[in-house]
Amino acid sequence: MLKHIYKYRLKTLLRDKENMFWIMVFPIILVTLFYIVFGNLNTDQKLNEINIDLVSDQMPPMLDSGQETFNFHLNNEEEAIRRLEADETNAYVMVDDSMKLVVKNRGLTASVIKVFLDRYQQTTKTVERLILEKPEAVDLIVTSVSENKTYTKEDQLSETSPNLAAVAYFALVGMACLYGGYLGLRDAIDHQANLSDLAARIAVGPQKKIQQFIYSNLATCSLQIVLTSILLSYMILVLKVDFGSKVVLVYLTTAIGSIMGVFLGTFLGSAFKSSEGMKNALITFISLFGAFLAGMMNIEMKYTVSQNMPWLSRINPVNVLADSYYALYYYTGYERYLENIMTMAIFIILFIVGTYMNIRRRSYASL
Amino acid sequence: MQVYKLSMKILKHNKFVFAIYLIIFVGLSLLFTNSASENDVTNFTETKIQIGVVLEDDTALTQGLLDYLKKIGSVSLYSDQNDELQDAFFFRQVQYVLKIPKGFTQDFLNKQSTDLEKIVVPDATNAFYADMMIDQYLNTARTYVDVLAINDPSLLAQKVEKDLDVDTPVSLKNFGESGTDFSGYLFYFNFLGYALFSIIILGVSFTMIIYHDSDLRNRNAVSPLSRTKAARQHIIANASFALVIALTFILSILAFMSFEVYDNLWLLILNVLIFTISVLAISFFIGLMVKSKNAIYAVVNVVALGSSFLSGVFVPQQFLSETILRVSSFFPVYWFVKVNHEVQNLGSWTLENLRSPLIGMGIQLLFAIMFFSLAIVIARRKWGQQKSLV
Repeated sequence: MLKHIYKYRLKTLLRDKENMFWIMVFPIILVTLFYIVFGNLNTDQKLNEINIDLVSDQMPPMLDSGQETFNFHLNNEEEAIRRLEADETNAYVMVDDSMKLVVKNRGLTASVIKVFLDRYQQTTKTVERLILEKPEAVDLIVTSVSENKTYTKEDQLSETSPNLAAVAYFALVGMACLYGGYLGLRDAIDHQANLSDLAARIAVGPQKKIQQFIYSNLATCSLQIVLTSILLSYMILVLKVDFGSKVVLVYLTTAIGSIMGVFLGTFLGSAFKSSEGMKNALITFISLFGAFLAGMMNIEMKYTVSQNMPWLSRINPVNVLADSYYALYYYTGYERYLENIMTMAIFIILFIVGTYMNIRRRSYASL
Repeated sequence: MQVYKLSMKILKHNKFVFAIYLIIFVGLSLLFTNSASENDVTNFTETKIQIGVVLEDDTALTQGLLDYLKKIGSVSLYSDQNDELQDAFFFRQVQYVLKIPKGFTQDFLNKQSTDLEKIVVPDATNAFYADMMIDQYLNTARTYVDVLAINDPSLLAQKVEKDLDVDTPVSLKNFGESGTDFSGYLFYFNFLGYALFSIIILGVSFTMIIYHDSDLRNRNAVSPLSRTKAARQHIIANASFALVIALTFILSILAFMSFEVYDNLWLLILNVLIFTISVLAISFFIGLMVKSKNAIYAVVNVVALGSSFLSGVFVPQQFLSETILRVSSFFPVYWFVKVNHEVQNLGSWTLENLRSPLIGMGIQLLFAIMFFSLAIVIARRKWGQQKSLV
C-alpha cells in the first residue's frame, strides 16, 4: 500500500503545473537573476591613480615622494578648472601659504586626497617644530620623517572572505524550502473530507486515513527535498555560489528545511477551515515576507532585524534556515549552527503534532 | 460602450488584487525611500568609515590614536573578537577592524616594531583611507620618539595631537548640476518600473483572458458592433485603467512622501506617464499569450521582476556590468530608469541637457508602437477571418 500511495502521490504532485512552477522554476529563475546582478556587482570602488593639479609656481618639497597613488601636475587655475570639469583630474589644489582643495563631488577619492594633504601639512609642521626645538638634529629629523613605516598588518576573522551577496542567496534557498508548504497544503486538503471531494472519497475507503496521510507526506517530503536539492546543486555547480566548505551539511540543512516547509503546509492546511486560496496566500506571505526579513531583497535587513528585534529573527523560519547556512559559511564553530537546527527541529515537531491533533479521529455523518 | 463597460466591470471585480499590490508597493517604497538619506552638495564632508577596535592596550598614546581616527568616522570598541564583531563586520557595519595588542605602547616607546592587526574587506578602498590615518599618527609619534627620545605616552600624545591639528579646507566646484540632491526620490521612481509593470500586466491580462473564451468571441462576432470598434473600446478601457494606476502612484508620492516639489519632478512624472504607455502595449502583447489566470501571476513575476532586475530598478545601473546593460537595453524599463537618473539632477532645462532624456523617452514610445503593432498582428492572425464556425 505504501508503494502504491507513494507513487500516485508523486504523480499527482508532479502534474500540478502551477505548484511546480512556483516551487521549482521560479526559485531557479530568481537565483539566476541574482547571479547575473550580484555576479557582476562592483560596488567596491577601486582607487586607481589619482590625478591632482597644483595651482602653484613650484612643486612643494617632498610632496611627491614615497607614494604611487597620487600624480601631481603644476598648472594655472583656468586650466585646472577646465581639467576638473572634463574629468581629467580628480581635484586641484590652490597652493600659497596653506593649501586649499577643490573637488567636483564628495566621495572617497576626495576624502583620500584631503587626508593626504592634511598629512603633508602635518608632517611639515612636525619638521618645523622639531627644528626649532632641536636645531642640531636636522639630519635625524629628515631621515626619521622620510622613513614612512606601515604599522598595520592584515589578519582575518574567518576562513571565508565575507561576501554580502551570500545573505540574499541564503534567504532565497530558505524561501524555496518553505515553498514546500504549497505541497504540504495540497496533502492536507486532499486528505480532509470536509475540504475536498478527493478526501471524501478516500475517507470511505477501508485504508486507515492517518496511514494514508503519512504515506502521502513521505512522498511529498521526498519530492520537496529533491526539488530543493536541484536548486542547491544548480547554485553550487552551475552558478558557483559559495556556500563554504561544509557542503554535506548544507544539503542536510536544506533537507531539514524542506521538511519544515512541508509540515508548515500540512499544519496550515488542517488548522482552520478557510479557502485554499487564503491558505496559499498565507504560505506565500510567510515565505516571501520571511525572506524579506532574512535579507533577500535588502541585505542589511537581516542585520537590522537581528539587532533590533532578535526574537523575530529567531521565530522567522526563513531566517532560521538562512542563518544556518550563514553559520556554516562564516563561523568556524558549530554552536550557532546547532542552535538553528534545534529551532527547526522544534518547528517541525510543533507542526507535526499540530497537524495530527487537527486531523485525528475526524469522522463525518454527512458531507 | 458595452465593451468598455464590460472591461471596467472585470477590472473592478479584481479590485482586491490590485489594492493588495498597490498597498505592498507603496509600503515598500516608503520603507526604502525614507531610509535613503538626503544631503546637500554645497558643503564638503568627509566619507565616514566605521572602525571597530579591540583595545587591549589602553594608554594615552592609543587613546590619542583613536581620537585621531574619529576624524574620519565612528570608532566603536569591542571586547574581543566575538560573534558581535564578526556579524557587524560581515554586514559592513564595521568596515575596518583594528586590534591593538597588549604592550603595544611600551614596545613602541622602546622602538621595537610591533604591528597592529587589521581586518578589512578584500579590496576595500576604505581600508587604504584608515591605513593612511593610522600610519600618519604613528609615524609622527615615532619621529618624536626618534628625535626627542620621549618615553611618556601622554606627553607624546600631546605633541602629536598638536601637530596633527591641520584641516585642509575643501570646496566643491559646481558644474551645472542642481544644487540640492534629490537622489532619495530616485528609488521610488525607479521602483515604479516594477510596480506599474506588474499591476498593468495583471489588469490587462485579466480582461483579455475573458475575451479568449471562444464562445464569447463567437457571440460577439454576430453582434452589430464591429470588431474594430470593440477592440478600440477595449483598448481605451485598459488605457484608462493604466492611467488611474499611474496617477494613484504619482499622487501617493506627493501625498505620503513629503517630497519637495521641484522642477525636475515634472520631468520624472512625464517619464512615468510615457513608461505607462509602453507598459500598456507590452501588456496587450503578453495578454494574447497567456491562457489562464494562474499563468498570469507567473508571467508577471518572470517578465516584470526579471526585466526590472536587469535594468537597474533594484540595483543602480552604475553597478551593473556592460553586458547586462546591453541586454537590458532591450527592455523599456532600462530606458525608464536611465531617464529617471538623468532627469532627477538636471541643472537647467536647456536643449543640450534635455537631449539624452528626450531620446530615452522617445525610445520608450518606440517600444510602445512596436509591441502594439505586434499585438495587433498576432490578434488578427489568431482571431482573423473566421468564415464559418461549424
